[in-house]
Amino acid sequence: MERLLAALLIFALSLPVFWLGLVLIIQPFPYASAFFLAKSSDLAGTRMRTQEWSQDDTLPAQVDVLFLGSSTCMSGVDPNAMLAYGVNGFSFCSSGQRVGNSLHILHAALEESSPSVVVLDVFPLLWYGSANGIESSRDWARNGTQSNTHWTRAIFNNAIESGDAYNVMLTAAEWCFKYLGISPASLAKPRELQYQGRGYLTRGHSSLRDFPNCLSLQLGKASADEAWCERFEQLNTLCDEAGAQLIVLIPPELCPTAMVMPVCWAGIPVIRGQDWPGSQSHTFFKDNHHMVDAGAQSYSIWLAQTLNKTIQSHGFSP
Amino acid sequence: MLFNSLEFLLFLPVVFAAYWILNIWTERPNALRAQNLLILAASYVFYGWWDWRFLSLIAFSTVVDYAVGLQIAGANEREIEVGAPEGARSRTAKRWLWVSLAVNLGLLSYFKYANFFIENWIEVWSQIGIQMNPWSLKVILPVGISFYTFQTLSYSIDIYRRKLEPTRDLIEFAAFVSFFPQLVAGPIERASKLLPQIQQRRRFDYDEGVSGLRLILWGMFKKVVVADTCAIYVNDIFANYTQYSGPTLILGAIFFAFQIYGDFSGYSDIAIGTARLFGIRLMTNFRTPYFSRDIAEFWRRWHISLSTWFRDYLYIPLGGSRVGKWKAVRNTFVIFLVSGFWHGANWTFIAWGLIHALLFLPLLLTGRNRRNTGDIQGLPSLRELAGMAGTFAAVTVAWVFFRAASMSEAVRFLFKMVRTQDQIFTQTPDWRGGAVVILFMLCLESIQKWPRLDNNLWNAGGTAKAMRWMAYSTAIWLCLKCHTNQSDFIYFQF
Repeated sequence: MERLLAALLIFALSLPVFWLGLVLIIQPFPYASAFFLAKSSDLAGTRMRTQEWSQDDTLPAQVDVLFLGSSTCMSGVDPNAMLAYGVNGFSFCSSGQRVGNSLHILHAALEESSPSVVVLDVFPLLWYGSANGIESSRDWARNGTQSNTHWTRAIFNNAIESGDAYNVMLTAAEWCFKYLGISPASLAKPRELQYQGRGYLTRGHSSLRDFPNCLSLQLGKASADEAWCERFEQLNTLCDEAGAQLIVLIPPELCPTAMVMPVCWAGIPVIRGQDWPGSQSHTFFKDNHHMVDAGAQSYSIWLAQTLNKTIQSHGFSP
Repeated sequence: MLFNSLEFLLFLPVVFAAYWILNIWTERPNALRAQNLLILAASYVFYGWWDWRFLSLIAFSTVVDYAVGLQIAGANEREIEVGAPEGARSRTAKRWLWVSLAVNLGLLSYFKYANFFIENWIEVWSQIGIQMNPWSLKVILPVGISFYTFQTLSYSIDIYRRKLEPTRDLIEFAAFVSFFPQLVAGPIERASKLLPQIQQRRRFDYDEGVSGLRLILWGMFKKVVVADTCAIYVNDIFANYTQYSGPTLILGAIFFAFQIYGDFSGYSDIAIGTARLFGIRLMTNFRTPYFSRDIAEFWRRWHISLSTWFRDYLYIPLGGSRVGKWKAVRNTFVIFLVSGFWHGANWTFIAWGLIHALLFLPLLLTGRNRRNTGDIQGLPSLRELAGMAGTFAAVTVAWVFFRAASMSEAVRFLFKMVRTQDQIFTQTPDWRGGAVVILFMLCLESIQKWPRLDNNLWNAGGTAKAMRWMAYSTAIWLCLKCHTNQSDFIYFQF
């Protein structure tokens, strides 16, 4: 028994050494590090948008509209297409980014910019729970390039609140690497990704061949729970304190999810993506709710116009 | 309590420590009883973590079979005393066996199959134009009921057959029925194998402990890394099968084959490994089934504890394959259909069993069902590889019925697999992550399967300790990484 316990103790003590070795060995190999450390999708997106944000000193100060949300926002909102309509925006949307993740990212972003409007994209099937999205936490831990205090705090908070031990380990390891000046070599991005600036990237996906069979999608009914609303209210309070107006954006879906409007949205402007004329055109989507590039262009132009109208009708100025 | 949960991570070391401390500190005559009491208490906590109300069901089943065992043995003894010929069974013994069968199978039928029979009863009447109000019982299926029911049944039947002496210690028997590593999803142990181990004092053995931990890690890897990774693709593809292309559906079916293997064999490995930590050996439940060269070999390698249970307690009593061709065919269909029905109250499971029976039949009729009984020596030949590929393909097609929610869904899924025209989603899910973990698992299993390549990372062999530890730490890392969505084991529903 003592022999087994001793072997286990030595093994447990050696684990950090083995793991550090593993992380270091696979750093130069993008696909291996994506497999062993964090999922590969959209690595390039978060890395490139945070690089642009931190390297272009003038950009954060100029940005007037911040977009936050999950993959529906990441694939559908192109701030570049909105510039011609007077919307100077930047997208901090990433895959699986839930309201808790967005709260911490906004905290950090507001340290460097003073937007007058914050648009929160809320995909209905993510309206539950207070836990942060694990996928998004890992993406930010691995690919968020900022190393200053407020971004570090945001990334750590995201990891801790995801309730996932691995996230905390990964975040700590990545922070050590950043602190020691070791830049992860997995900068290579999937070939189909093309960063377009302002947080948006095209992904080269082809569109649906036909309109999906909505009955077979089994979408269910979305309603926000208390924990979700609590996070949402914290985000709204943060916007208030920063003098920014929060606007909720429900992304379009070919087969819309039935939803109960959350009571915590009272008094907050809501834009329904379903009102976009292209919301029922399958050629704009790659699945039920993620857009292809052509869809994103059309949707973003409509969104810029709708944003302007919303801003005017609610009497707050960008 | 799930093996892949934080609670179990805390529960196991506490029970393990208490178990061996009892062995050291308690005086010899009491040590065994104390260990068995601890196993019983720990097992009830383990099961009650899910729903404590159903502990009463296990307790009831335990008391009934304990009493039945004693009654049958008593009747058997009286038969011997009066000089009855060997093999004769008294009516009393038979009556008590029927009590055990009625209670155990009655509980199983009520909790697992009542709604199935009600729904089908209503459906049959509706077919002839008589409409009945649809209704169903609000019954929760107790986790593991199919497993512990079969385990206790084997106890009564073995005593009836005079293959086993009954235990007179209720604690021992209750510990045997509820032994937590295999309580909810097997392996389904025979009383003749497990009970004697419970009745003997266990001593800690370093090599057993190490091999147990190794099996736990390997099982955890199969469940958390392989099965749960495959599940992401499988859930998406099966939920949206009307939208995806044929090749994507084939991918979904293949991933499900590995999901269910990783899930179930992973559970079995963790169960066997955990039992070894307590000085108890459980039977092997899977022996690399996807390397089988024909369907008969597949069934000697897949869910061995269930297939041998059916063989010993159903197939052989029916006459097996030595009763003439047509009776052998009948027996084959019976065993596969019952095996399908055991898995769940749905026609899809029965269809799954039927497909396996149909695949098995040609081998039985041509007398080739015991052709591939031994392990492959060295590397497989091309013919053997072709056999493996064909068997895997057939098994994968049958898995579609196992996974589908209904018969119509399974049939549509299969038709869509071979069509390329009517897809709506043009994107295939990024399958590379799933493929990598499957290949990783298959490579490690290949290394273990073929003895000439025995210097593998999991067995001590000749591999350097540092190499093995590196493999273990990488496996733990991957388990932590993939442990994003703690999910139930598929076989819990059975």
